[in-house]
Amino acid sequence: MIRCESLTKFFNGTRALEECSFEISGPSITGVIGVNGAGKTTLFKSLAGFLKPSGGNAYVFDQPAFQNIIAAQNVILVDESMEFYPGATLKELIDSYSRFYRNFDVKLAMGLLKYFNLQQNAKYKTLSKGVRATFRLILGLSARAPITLLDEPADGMDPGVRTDLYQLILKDYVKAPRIILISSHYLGEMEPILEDILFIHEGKVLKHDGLEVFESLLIALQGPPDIIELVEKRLKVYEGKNFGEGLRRIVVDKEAYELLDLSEKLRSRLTLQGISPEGSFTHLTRREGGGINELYDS
Amino acid sequence: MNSMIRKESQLSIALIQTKDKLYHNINAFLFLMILHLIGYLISSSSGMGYLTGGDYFDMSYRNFSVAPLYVMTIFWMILQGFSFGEEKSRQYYMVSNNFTAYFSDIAVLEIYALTAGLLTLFSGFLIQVFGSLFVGNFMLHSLYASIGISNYLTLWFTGTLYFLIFGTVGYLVGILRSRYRSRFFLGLLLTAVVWILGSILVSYSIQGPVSLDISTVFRFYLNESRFFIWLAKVLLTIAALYGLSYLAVKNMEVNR
Amino acid sequence: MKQLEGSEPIYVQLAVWLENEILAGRVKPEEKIYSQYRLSEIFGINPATALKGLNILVDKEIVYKKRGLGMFVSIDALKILQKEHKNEVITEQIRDLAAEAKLLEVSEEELIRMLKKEMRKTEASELEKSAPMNGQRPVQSQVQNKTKKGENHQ
Repeated sequence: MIRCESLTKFFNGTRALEECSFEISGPSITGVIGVNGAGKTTLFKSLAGFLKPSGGNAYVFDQPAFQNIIAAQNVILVDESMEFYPGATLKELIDSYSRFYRNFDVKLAMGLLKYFNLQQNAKYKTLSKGVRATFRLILGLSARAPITLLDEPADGMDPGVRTDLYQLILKDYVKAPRIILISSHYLGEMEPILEDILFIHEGKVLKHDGLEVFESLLIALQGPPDIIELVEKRLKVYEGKNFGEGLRRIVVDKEAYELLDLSEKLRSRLTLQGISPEGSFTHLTRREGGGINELYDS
Repeated sequence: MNSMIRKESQLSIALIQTKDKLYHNINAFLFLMILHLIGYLISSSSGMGYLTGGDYFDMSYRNFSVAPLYVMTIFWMILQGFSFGEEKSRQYYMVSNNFTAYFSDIAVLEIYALTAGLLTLFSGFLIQVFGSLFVGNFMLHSLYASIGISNYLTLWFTGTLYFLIFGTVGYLVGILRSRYRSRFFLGLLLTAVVWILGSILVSYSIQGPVSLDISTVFRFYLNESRFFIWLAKVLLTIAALYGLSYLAVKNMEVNR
Repeated sequence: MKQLEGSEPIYVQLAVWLENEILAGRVKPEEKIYSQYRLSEIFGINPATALKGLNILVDKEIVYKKRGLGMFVSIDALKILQKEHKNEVITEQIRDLAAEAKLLEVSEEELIRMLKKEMRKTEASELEKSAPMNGQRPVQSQVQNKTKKGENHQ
């Protein structure tokens, strides 16, 4: 249903997306993870048909997305820069959208408005940042578009509300299964509702796989410094820390460690701890170069 | 999930967009009425309008009785065209592509031109009605009591086409402005040059060399007494403007 | 909404939770176990993740699929789980216990005595839980016989 083939996009000389290739063929909730500026928004806009690829292509239902009316009526992109008619009320916007998105569930939208204490006659422009985000999500979910793209939907919302938000998305997904892509740079809070993760870094797709793969990507190894240092020499280390004289802890690739030629005796003296996908994400995107300690200690 | 996939045609989406744009811009007609009112006031202060005893309010004109109204309406059409050409109006529609956006913009402008043509004829009547409600013995002008139907239809038809030309010019300028923001004035210049050159070329091929100035352009249309030639001129102008607008809109990205 | 916490993948934590539900008898053999959608609702997780957790149990043959009806707990579920737990959990705990005892200089005999005491206490409290309201304790004599047997054996 979604297929990107070497999708590349330039903006004024900067390469926002570079040779992105991936495919999503059935209903699922995929988290699109990346730091600010990684290319998530550009990817979403390309899938929604807003942007013309500089190279490669983005296919939606086997049609190139740009300027395609089939793609347009089956994709909804919910993001902060969504524009609405200035004086429009929430009810008017719901009615408008329901005319374009034929699957739109008006009853659900009105119910959600009520649930979140939003007045149907309120004008969108009078709403606060967080409330606007809530309304945009209501619109986006009620549209029941086969491909629903949510760009940082919880941005601007209070912490307590954010979890509810993701649960709402999950609930609607179970009710009406479809392809949902949620982008965020906070992976932790949306981890529970995800099935897959699409990891974007510096415009490239670094990894696209199931949540469970990301849950077992990196591990923390802990043990006597001399043994740890043995391992360090032979593996890529994402982070190293000493805890007093007798303990050192490093973060490495789980698979690489398992394949390492290390005796069982030595292995038994080390403890392993899983790193959450959010933790892995942080390590994988950390900039190369000295840590903050070096800056302060020198 | 497959049952959720929709395959509406571009045309049906364009029609939905047209209706939606009309609905959300309904205030435009109120704006037009206000402009007409101002038009009357202008003409009354500069023309021969006077107040005679009691509440008898007379607004008489000299030759061209509805000139101020036409000017106001033309101004209104250019403004509407321009605002539709601007990016904003395209960004309000998620289910859209450049073709449906263009199609619905043009459809709306055509409806505006038709309605404006009608309103310009009848605003006089409307003002007469409102005036009578608030001021006793309010009499606008005898003109509104005595024109025949066929005259009205002609006035409406020609008015519509002229308004459409102005509206589409505004539209084209709006698109060029939003698309080539940094090179806007270049675009403006380009439009003017193309139009003038086009008209000159066409009139050159029909009636020989002609002087290059603005009044020439207007006389090209207004002085044409042969109906079908006039119709051809106007329709060709409109077609050219439509074509240019479409070229300008094609392949435009949505940069919100 | 229930919470799953820990550093294990969510679907693994979920499998552990399901196994505990079976062990505790809250879902009995031949009964239908929670569906992926019900689990999704309870824990607020993606149904696909819930399915992965359920499939761990399917692979262990603790749970089986009945086409068109859902997933059910196998007859042998308890047996399989208990054996597994015995092998993993108990063994690990005994290992830790032995190491700890050595560190604290507790002798083997003292350790076994402490273990027996603890086991008797546990049995007694289990008894109280299953006792009928009118005070009769028909099961008690059986328990006493067992205890006697144990003592004889020693």
